[in-house]
Amino acid sequence: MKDDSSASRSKPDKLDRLVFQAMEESEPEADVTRSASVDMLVEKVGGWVDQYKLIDVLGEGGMGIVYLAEQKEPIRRRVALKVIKPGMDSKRVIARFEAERQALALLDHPNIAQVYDAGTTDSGRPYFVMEHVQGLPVTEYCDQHKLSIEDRLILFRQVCDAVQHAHQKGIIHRDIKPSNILVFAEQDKAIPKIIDFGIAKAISLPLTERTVFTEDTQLLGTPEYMSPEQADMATEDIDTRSDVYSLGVLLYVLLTGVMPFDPEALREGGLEHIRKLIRETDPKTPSTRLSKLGDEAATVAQNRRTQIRTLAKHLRKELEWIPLKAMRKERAERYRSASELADDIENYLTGSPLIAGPPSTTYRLKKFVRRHGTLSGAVLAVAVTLIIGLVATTAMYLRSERALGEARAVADFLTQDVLGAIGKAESYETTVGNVLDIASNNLEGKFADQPLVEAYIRARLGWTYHQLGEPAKAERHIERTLRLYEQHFGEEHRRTLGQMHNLGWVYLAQVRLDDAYRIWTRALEIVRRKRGNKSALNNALGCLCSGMGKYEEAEALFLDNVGADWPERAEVREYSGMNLARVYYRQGRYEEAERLFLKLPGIANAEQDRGKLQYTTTLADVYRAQGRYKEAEQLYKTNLEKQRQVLGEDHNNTVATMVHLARLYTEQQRYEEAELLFRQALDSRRRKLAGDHPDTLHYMHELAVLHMLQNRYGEAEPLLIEALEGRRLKLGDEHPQTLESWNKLIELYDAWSKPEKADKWRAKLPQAQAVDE
Amino acid sequence: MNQRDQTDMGGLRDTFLTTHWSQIGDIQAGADEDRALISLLLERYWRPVYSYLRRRGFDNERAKDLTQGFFHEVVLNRRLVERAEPSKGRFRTLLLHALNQYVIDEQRKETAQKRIPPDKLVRLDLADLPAWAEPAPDLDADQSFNYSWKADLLDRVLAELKDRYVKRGMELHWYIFRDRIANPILEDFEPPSLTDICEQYGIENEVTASNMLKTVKRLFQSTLRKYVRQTVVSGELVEEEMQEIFQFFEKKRTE
Repeated sequence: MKDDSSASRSKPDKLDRLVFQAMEESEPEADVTRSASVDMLVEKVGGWVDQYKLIDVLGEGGMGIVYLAEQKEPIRRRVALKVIKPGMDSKRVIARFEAERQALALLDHPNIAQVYDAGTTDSGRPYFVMEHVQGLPVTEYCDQHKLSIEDRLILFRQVCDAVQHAHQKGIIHRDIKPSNILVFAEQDKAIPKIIDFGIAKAISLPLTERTVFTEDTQLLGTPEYMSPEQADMATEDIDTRSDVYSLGVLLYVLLTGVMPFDPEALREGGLEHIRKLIRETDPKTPSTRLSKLGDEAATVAQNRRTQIRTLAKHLRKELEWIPLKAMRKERAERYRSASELADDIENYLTGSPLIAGPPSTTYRLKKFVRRHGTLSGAVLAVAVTLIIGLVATTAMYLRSERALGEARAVADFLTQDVLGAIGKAESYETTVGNVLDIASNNLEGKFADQPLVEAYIRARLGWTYHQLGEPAKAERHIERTLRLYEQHFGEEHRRTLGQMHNLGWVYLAQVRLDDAYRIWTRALEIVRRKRGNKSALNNALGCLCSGMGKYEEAEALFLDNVGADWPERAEVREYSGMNLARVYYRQGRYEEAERLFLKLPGIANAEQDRGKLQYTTTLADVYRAQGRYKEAEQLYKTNLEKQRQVLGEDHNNTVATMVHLARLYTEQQRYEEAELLFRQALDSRRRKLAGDHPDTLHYMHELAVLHMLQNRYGEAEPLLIEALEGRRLKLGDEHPQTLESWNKLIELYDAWSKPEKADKWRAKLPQAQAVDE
Repeated sequence: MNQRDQTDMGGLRDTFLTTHWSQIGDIQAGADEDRALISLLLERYWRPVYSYLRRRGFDNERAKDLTQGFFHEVVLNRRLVERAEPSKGRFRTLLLHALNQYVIDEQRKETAQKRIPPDKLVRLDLADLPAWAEPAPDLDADQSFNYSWKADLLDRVLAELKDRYVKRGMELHWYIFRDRIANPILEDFEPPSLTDICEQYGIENEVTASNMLKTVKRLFQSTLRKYVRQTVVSGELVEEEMQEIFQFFEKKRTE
């Protein structure tokens, strides 16, 4: 192999020659030593292909040459004859074509060019004979005649109708692009005609078999118009919606004059790059593309008899939603049919609301997730829950016209202000809390004149904070929501009551039992007064009372649920039953507890109902309390196994059962087994929640206590300090759980014979009070 | 096209330099931006300037000094703008006009280096002085400038072609073009026939080889236009500039 020459070392006239030769389309005549085989392959003008006389070359495309030909028998007419380039398996092509031939014969539409015949040439290449259409590719026609946007849409709608007609006959085009849609004028009307129906399928090859060694669009086919599923290898999985996609691209080009994907960028990196781009990259919105065109935009606008600004405005307002919907990556998100696409064009022309909308929240969210794959799963999970939940709620409650605007405001707030802010953040070390904090900060004053929107968002934010173990932050939002609802709906409205209910849980999480008791009692009074459904409140207040040691009151509340006959509330009744059993258990009424548990239907079929698996754990607690360790252990173990299978290793309930079993082992002084489980639980919490989640801190504390029992003080110390500092930060110095860790730490130093450290912590103790274990 | 308003601040000079700025890519924050731009301009255009100066009779050392001085003083400073008018929007002619003027001025002055703080001066590395350092004797200074300009341009185009095909694992395309067109022309020997090339590289048949060649030619054309485009202020001037740079091409087109 020779080295590369350098132009710098060559004589001046050589440079000119090089450019001249490189610019020449064909090889200089003398240089071409055409082999005989080449000649044989080429049909010539003046020659014949079966009964068709070749008159002229109409065009040369990636798939072959199109001739103008004349047919004498049975009728005399001029036809277009397309000879497919060498390299195709003719038998396969013709067989495929024959398979569709009957269907093709049914195509009878003024905007579809008929395919008459197919066969093989003498040289063995497949050819197709079709109606000869004298027209320009649709994009060229539109620009040449400077068709306005409206005229383009009318033309495009006709194309959609024709495609729909074919789809109804079971024929998919598979290669819709401007050069396959020819337009000619008839009595001043532009008439589009789609050519090549049935041909693309016959000659389509999986993309891998296609020759792709070039920038040459033609050899590759036209990837710009190819749907993601076509770009994918699974070419068999193509349906009418693939044509809808291509129509979307066509519309995009008709509107903006540019391709949705930059053709150069598309071809820059070979086949895999093309595939990836088509499958994964969202096209820029037409208005964005237009704004980036610079001076070219003026020409685009001019060709559409409009101004850039007007064009951009129309696009942005809603027109561009149509091509974007047609071009969705997911087929299910596109228009369901070409006719639906045509309908939306009609909608636009008549000023009716469009089927297409701006990219939906879910859509944008998915995109966001795709873009920020590095964000932690937890953040995204929360963001997703937050937004989808919120939009769903909003959509449910707001059905009026005005409501639509509010729903949109909510979605915009979340996707732009919240997710947008994350996107802009320099680092992706975004935590769940961060997401919510951003949302909270952006919320202030944003919806001053839309109190309901504000309330919806706060309700959702508040509850998410609560679930994340941030009750103080949750409280702020939920209290505000409650006030807004009270003002707007009155205190008896179920939404108001719902927030009272939620607020109670938030108080409870902060161990502000009295506040929780107050709000729930008040809510329950209201419900009783208006004879509403009190089951949920009964249950909640019952749990609270049980926790406060007001066992009789708790029992009454649960019994109110258990005794009630609400078939539709069977669920709540069962939970109340379980909670009642827990009250008995706490009171030491173990036999009653056991009896009640065994009566609960949930116990028997807990496997079918994931939530009820936890019942079994509580029953095991009862056995444990009774010292029936064997039964307890057996029950914990089988239940743990089931939960691992059904709920997964990291589910809250699975972890809870793990810890309960660990406590049993601790009681039996089987410390090593206990340690293993505590560690698993702690790891899981750290992984799934966060280092400073109350549950994580709680298990940390428990593991430390276990180590103290094992006299492994050195290992207990860091755990306990971490738990203590975490709790101080999260719950405050005076929280019972904080004090629990605090006292334990002092106890540790005392037991470890480190009195000075014990004294140091003792001195700092907020109140010199010991907390019972 | 991306034509800029010629009444913009800085006018033509800004337009050209903006084009070049856009190629400098990632200048480190805090780096001397002018220095980076000078480096790029020197790297890309020192040869034509140097050739011109040699042809004007300056010896090697003096030509190097003047080349440096020219880029530092004239190209970066507003003085280039004063000479923009006759260049009609093309960087090559702008540079040539400015260079002409500069030489006349310089012959009355001291060398450039003395007025530029040494730490600001970007060294001109002549280590890879090409074979044409002593230009063909039948060219005058202007022609010499243009010739160097062309050669540089073509070398960049060829390098990019090769690079793009090699990167994509399509070396074969490059080899065909190189063996059939580039090397024979530049080194003046008879090109091998397509049949020979097919045999050498194991290509199926001549049609395939010829198609591959066409493909490379198209990329050659678009790459050449791309580079020429970078040196003119508006797209309309690309063809004009092409014609002027490549005489043969022009003759062929006007025939």
